[in-house]
Amino acid sequence: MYQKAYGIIETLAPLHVGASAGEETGNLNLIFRDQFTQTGIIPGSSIRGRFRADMREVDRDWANDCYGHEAEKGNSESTTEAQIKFEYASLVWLPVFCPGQPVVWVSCPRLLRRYQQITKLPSTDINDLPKRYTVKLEKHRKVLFFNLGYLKDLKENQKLSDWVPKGLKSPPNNLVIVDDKDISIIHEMALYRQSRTKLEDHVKKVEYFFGVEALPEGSILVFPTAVKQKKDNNQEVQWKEALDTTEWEFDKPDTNDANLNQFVFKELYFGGLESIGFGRCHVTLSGKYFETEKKS
Amino acid sequence: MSWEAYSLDQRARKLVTKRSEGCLREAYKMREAVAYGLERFWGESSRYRANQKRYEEDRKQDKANIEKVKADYWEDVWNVLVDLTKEDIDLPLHKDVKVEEDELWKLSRDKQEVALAVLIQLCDCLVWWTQRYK
Repeated sequence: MYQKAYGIIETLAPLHVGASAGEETGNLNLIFRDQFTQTGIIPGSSIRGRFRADMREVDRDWANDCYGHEAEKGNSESTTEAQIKFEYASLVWLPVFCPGQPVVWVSCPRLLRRYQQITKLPSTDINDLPKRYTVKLEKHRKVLFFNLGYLKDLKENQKLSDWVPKGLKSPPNNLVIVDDKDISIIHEMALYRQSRTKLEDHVKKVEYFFGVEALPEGSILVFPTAVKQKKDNNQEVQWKEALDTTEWEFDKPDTNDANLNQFVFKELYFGGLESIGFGRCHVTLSGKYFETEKKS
Repeated sequence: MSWEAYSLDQRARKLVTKRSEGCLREAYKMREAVAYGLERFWGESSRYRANQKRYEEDRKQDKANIEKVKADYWEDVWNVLVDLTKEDIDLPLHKDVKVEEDELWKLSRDKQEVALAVLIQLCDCLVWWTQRYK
């Protein structure tokens, strides 16, 4: 009844999805976090909202059809179910400043397991998860120092590059796996943090300030989607066609591997802080749904 | 085989709280000095030591003491850095550095970068605690 697909989000600018500046003036605007790993997420509703906005400009009815009809004022019966379901996006790789490297991308078994469950890549064997404290670095090192601590006894694992999604704009080259319990402190260290100010309109005087935290650029996230095959009136759901009309680009990975699916990509903005230069992302869609389309 | 925190705040607080009032402001100078590299940071205490000796020869013990406290502070911070990075970097203790043998220049560029990055973070923590205690 549903066909699976998934999306990969690669941040090209810091990404903040969470409390917005207007709500917490003068406070730190925190990002949404996963309950267990305490790492940044993008809620499925935010992803759906951006997809809807992307299509609404071109075809409002099509957007309502794919992503659900918003309620009309005074008419509680006006909403419809979305034909495309989105789940939250979780981190796969998080870039961290690492003196001497100078950036390493960090992940942990729990995050990689979700990536594997969603994408079925690189293998469907769930026991095949990379071991913690293994690395694939351009120049192998046993010890990695960070701003607030270090990792030691790191073992080399060349297979880690299999866990990097295809179709990224700038694929990470230095990969590190840490324990599930260590990812939250490393995540705190990796976050982009800044205080921002709003000046008064006619005087160069601070009207208010706010602190933001954001996922750094180069972060890689994954989210699952499900596409309803047939609508209630038995018509096909034409998501792929809808993406085509909204200028999503269709491509094949730059490889001869026949198992890799066609993928679809576009630059999209996520989060509410576009005005301060946040949120630009490269989004890639792939998975079974697009594979079926390729074969037909 | 795990994440090891430096406990920078704890170390910085200890360094700051055992200081006399007279040398607390050195933390700001340290933060500035690290931008120029390990050698300059290492060398700053030598300058205070030389001053200390000069005052001692002139029998100005009060002034000599102030210079001594400052020199001690810089050396203590250096030695904490040595301890923090000992897992992978053979940074010598302050008294063990022989300038004529260019020991700090012998460290690979990678290791110098790592030591500097940790030192910068440590100095940031010193500045933070200085602002609370001065």
